[in-house]
Amino acid sequence: MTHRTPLLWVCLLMSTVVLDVAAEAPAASTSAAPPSVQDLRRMHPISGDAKAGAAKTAVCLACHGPQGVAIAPNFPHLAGQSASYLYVQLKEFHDGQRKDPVMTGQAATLTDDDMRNLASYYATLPPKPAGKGDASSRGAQLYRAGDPARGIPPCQACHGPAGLGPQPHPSAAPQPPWATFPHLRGQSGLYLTKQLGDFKRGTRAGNSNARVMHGVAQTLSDDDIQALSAYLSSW
Amino acid sequence: MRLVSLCCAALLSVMLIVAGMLLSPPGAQAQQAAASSAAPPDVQHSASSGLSQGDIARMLPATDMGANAARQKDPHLAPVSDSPATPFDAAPIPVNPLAPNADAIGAKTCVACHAQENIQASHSLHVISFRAGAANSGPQAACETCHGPGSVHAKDPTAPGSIIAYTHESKTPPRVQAGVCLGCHAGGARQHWVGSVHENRGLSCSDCHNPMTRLSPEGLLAASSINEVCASCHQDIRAKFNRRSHMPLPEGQMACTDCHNPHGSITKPLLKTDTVNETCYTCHAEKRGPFLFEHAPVRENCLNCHDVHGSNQQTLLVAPIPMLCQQCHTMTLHPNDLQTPAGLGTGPHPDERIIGRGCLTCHSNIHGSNNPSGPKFHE
Amino acid sequence: MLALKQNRTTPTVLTLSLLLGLCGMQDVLAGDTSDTMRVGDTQFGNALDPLGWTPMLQPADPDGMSLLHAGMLRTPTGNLYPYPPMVNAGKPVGQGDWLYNGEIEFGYLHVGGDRNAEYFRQYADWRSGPVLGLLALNFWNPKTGEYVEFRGNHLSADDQFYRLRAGQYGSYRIEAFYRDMPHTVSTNAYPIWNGVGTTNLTLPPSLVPGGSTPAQVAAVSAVTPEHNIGLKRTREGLSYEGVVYQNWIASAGITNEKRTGTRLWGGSMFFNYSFPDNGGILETVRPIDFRTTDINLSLRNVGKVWHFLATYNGSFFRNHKDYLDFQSPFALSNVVGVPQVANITTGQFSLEPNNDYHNVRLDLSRELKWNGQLTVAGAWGTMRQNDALLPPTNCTGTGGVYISPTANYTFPCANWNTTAALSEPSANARIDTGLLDARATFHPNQAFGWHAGLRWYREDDKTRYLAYNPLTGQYGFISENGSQGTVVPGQTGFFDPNNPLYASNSVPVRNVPVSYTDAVLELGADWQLSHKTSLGVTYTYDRNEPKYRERNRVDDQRFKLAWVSRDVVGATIRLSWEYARRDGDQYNYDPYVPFYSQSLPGFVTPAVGLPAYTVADMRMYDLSNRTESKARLIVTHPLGESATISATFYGNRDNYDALIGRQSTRTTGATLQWDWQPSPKTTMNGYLGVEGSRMGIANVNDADSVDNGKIYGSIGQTNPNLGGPFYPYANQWWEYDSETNRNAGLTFSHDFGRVRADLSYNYTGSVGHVGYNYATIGALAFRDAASVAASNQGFPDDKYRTNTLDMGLSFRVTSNVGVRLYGRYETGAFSDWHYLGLNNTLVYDHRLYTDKGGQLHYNASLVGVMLNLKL
Repeated sequence: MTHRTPLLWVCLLMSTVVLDVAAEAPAASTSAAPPSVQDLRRMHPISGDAKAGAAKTAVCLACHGPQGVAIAPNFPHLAGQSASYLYVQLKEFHDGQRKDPVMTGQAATLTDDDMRNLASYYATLPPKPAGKGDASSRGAQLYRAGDPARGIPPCQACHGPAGLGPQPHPSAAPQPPWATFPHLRGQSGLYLTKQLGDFKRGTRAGNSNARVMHGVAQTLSDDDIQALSAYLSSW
Repeated sequence: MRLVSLCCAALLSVMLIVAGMLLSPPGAQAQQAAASSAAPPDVQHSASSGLSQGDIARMLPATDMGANAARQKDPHLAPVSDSPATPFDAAPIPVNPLAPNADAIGAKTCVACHAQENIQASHSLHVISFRAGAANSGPQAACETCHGPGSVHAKDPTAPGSIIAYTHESKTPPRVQAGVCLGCHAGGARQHWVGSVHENRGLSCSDCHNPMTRLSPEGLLAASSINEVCASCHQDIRAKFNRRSHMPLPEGQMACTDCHNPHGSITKPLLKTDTVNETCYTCHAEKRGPFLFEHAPVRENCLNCHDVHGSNQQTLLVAPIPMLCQQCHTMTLHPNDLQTPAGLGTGPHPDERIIGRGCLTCHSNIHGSNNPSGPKFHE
Repeated sequence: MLALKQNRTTPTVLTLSLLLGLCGMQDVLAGDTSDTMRVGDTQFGNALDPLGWTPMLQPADPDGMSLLHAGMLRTPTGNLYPYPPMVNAGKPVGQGDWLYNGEIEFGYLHVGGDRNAEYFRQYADWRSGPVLGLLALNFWNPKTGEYVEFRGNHLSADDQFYRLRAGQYGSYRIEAFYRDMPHTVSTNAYPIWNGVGTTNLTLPPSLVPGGSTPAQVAAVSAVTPEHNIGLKRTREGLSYEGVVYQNWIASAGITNEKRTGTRLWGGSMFFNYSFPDNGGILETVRPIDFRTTDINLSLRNVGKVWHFLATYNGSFFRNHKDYLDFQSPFALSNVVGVPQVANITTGQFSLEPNNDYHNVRLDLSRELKWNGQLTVAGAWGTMRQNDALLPPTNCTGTGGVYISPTANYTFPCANWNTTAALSEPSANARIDTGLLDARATFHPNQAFGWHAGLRWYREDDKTRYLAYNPLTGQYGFISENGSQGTVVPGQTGFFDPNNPLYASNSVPVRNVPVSYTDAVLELGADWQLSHKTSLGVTYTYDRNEPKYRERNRVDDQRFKLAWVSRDVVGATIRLSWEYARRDGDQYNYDPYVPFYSQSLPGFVTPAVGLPAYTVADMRMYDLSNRTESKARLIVTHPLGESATISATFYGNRDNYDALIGRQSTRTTGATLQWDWQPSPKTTMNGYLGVEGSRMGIANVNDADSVDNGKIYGSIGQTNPNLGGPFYPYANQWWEYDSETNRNAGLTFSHDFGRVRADLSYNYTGSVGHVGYNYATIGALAFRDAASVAASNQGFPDDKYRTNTLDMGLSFRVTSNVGVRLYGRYETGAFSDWHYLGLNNTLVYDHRLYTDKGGQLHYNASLVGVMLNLKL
């Protein structure tokens, strides 16, 4: 019996080695395929070369406008948007987690540096001039206070009281990736409506933030989405 | 002099207790901020959401999780008392002293963002049982029963203290945190939490428990086992269990809580019984006796001779035999000789007083003898 | 006996009927259970899975606990919560609302190497064969909150548990369990007797009781096969807890434990060290055959203002083998007088008597103003036994020594080997206890609080026994079953006021009913210095009033300071320091006179006086003056988002004001731990600990022999003073026990996807050293040249060391099927000078040992293959 033990040990050790190899192989193959969901929870704010980014905008401005203000309501405004948010979106178009007939193709050829630079460039542009916004509108109320009766949380928690991004208080506790949360103020209503719909249906679910938005958007009715989009675009 | 001071102190404490009794208010005095009852629905202060507390109370499934409804339907049940420790079907939403104006927003609003937390918590004993309690009214309540009303947090999630949090950066004082838990869990095994050493050291329930998920076989612990939880602070005690003789704790047969009640007790150190010995007798009932002939230090305190967590000597002894016995026994003749290697099995004078079990070879009934010829524990 | 038996049945039946009665009512809902209120059974696991629940097919959830932030949150103190396991949502049972999930792990375990090593299997019954690693089954109804849970594990028939819980959340819970727990005491024992495990140890036919030579005994011992000494605990329990009426919550539980096996024991037929080729010293084996039935009842009402808790704990211990008779192979011979007339060949022990225990307790708390609370607790307890007493001896014929007709020190055994020789037929022993505790706590505001407490506890031994033999009119007992008086004339153990031969024998004739009353006053205040920092001060005054002890009063005053800050450069620091002083009234080195025959009428003080009971300067350490200081620092420091480093530094210093007795103890130690969980896939932690301790005592050898100042038996023997003729300074000695403990551990776990690897290494190393010095060789037990030389060498160090490497590989074949390979390699080393030489022979002159002690070295391994299935 005693003699058999070392043999068993050898077997155990051998199996470890084999396993390690086996474990490596699928890991390698999965890393080639795009991960289905980008985990943004550890993402830090990005930095890039805005000037270099400006040089790459030739194609972008066709839709998003020369100053990052879209030429048509179905395209989002990019001016003044969070650089990290923009980068993440470009990366998702590039990697395939977010799909769009136009953007998927456009992003395919970009390098990682290109995406950082472009994102940084658009972040430096002045946002679309602010509108009035109707503070008493249904949309405004949803944005600021949500609707507890229907389980709708206030949007401002993450998108900021002024719609210009979150304003967290300093804390040593683990924080959400605040920089990846977009500014919504003045965004195109048509675009917002589509995105909220996509979140709700789960067709835009390519990253951990989108999974949160899936939960949030599911509390919204079509009317809520309309009201929110109308308010935000006019704000 | 000492006697005087003792008498004074005793008198003082009796006066304090009497004063305390007299001072207690005629009506119900809430135990903790957390335990004081939630704002009654008729107090309709204007909420920043534009909804009043009353509106929410009407729209939300009752945050008392349906108990009132259930009771009103059943004429045999007494109306819900406002006890801070009523079962969870009547758990109120605690007031958050750092956000006194916050309103309840309902669990559905919470889980809209906290989706993953919801998945985990929904399968933890705590929330499963909440939801079972809420079966009469729908699966809504839960989050705010512990975390306090959420409206301020929902609008400004990182505002300090906007919610009753139980984690490292929480602005809620540990005493308030514990008060929320005690709102349901007061009494019983936690009767002596207030004033216990763990309370005084600023521990919160969530230092040991995590009701948001299942990390342990049971007890909703903050680590994989009771022993792991205790060892997060008492590392030196855990190390003692690695010694030659120890209680079967590393072997998974025992937990710290088999003897200690971490929630507080009136017997130091957090023991569950009236004395140290009574705790030991629970498993070592044969040592309880009483015996015809008692050995004074044995009856007085098992810890006189045993280091119960672990020892480098046989049978958890605090010192090697015969040294252990020779601390007290210097009677004439055989007990007071200095034993040296000369008396070992390999020495020139092998001596029964040091070989093997040493003293215990003859005084085997050292815990007490019930033999009429056993006053020296020989028989 | 019948009455006692009934005693056992009645509470059982009562409790069971109460249990059944209570189960009927489950209308309202309860807060939770009272597990941490009762001693025992809060942990179900075993060495194979110390957690008792490690579902392999439920790996950590890759999404963690939140989509909103990375990593895990920390406890208020700063430790990371582990990543939660992936939820097992369960499958429906039939068409109803019930869901279930479950997991089973079973396979084969192979044990190799020194599988019988004592410290390898101390509390684990490792055996090659099939094992059940885990069987967990849960059924629950999310709508009603009803549930049924089962957990089980089987390593062997002696090492297993099964537990069933069922109930309705917040309403009631029923629990039933069965568990077997092994305890190996020795795997290196060689008992020569027949009947090991019974109450009668008889010598093998090749040995003659009272008539064998050491060589003959050694020959038998040498061929005695190895024997395992140990026991098994089998526990069963049944309990109920739930709401009985409105806010009244009751619990009732009954547990039954059967403990069977053997333990090493002794057996004395008088000294051998002072009487070469005489006496008899035997290490025997005693039986363990216990049954303990515990009954726990509680009733509580938790209201808004009042908290009420009443508990009853009853425990009924029954020993089915409550004596041990053994045969001694060695011949006894009288040191003076005519040739031996008596031959005592057997010894006897009374083992633990049956006992009954009841404790009733009431706890009441009331909320007060200023966030205050008043708690009053009162308890009354009693432990009793009235077992029939054995006769003072089981010898037959004549014992003692015959010198001459006027110096006839013999006694007929018939006068003592019958229960008619007893003053009382049964023990009639009883200790009553009482407890009163009152404390008030106030926190008038967030920044300040104070408390006061008073505790009073009394233990009263009501047992009164006078050792009087109505057949002979003699007081006392038969020492060592008659063997002592058969070697030394007159040392039979009794006092006879009517016989000048025994009229000067000072022997114990009464039991000492040691009792005490302890009163503790505590006053304390605490300040919240800032949001994260607090300071607490406590003063405790403890007055202990022991009865029939060397002091009538011992006062211990203690001052304690505790500082807690949760923000010292990001770390949580808990610092405590305490200082205590103990003193008391006058120390009486001999309070036992009333319990000896010297206090009886007819006692004749010998011409040379009675030898001093002990040295007057002895201070027993539980009663002596003492100063104590203790300090402890616990640091928990978060490192980044995924690591924690924590450390403990602690020490205590105790100084006893004693010339003779314990003089000091001190302990200093530190631990350091690092925990890292970078992702749900990976965890790693490391641990280091070191502790040193030292205890010092002083003692003095009495002048009992020609070569160390022979006073014993002469007029100077009455002088109790250190430095006097009987306890001369020259015979003083000092001894210390110094121990060092080192611990280290490293665990690593990583999930590669389909495979998880677990690796863990643990090291324990302890070294103990007993050192001594002495004024002159008069202190030594033996003072010949060889012994002095051996003494000068000192004791070798004691060692205990283990290295354990655990490896596990868990393959998830599918989400429902997995295979786990498990391996452990353990080495250990042990040495203890008590056992030196016993590996060569267990017989030294008239001494016979049974246990050779733990193995000096061992290597053992485990390899297991386990199939895991999700049910």
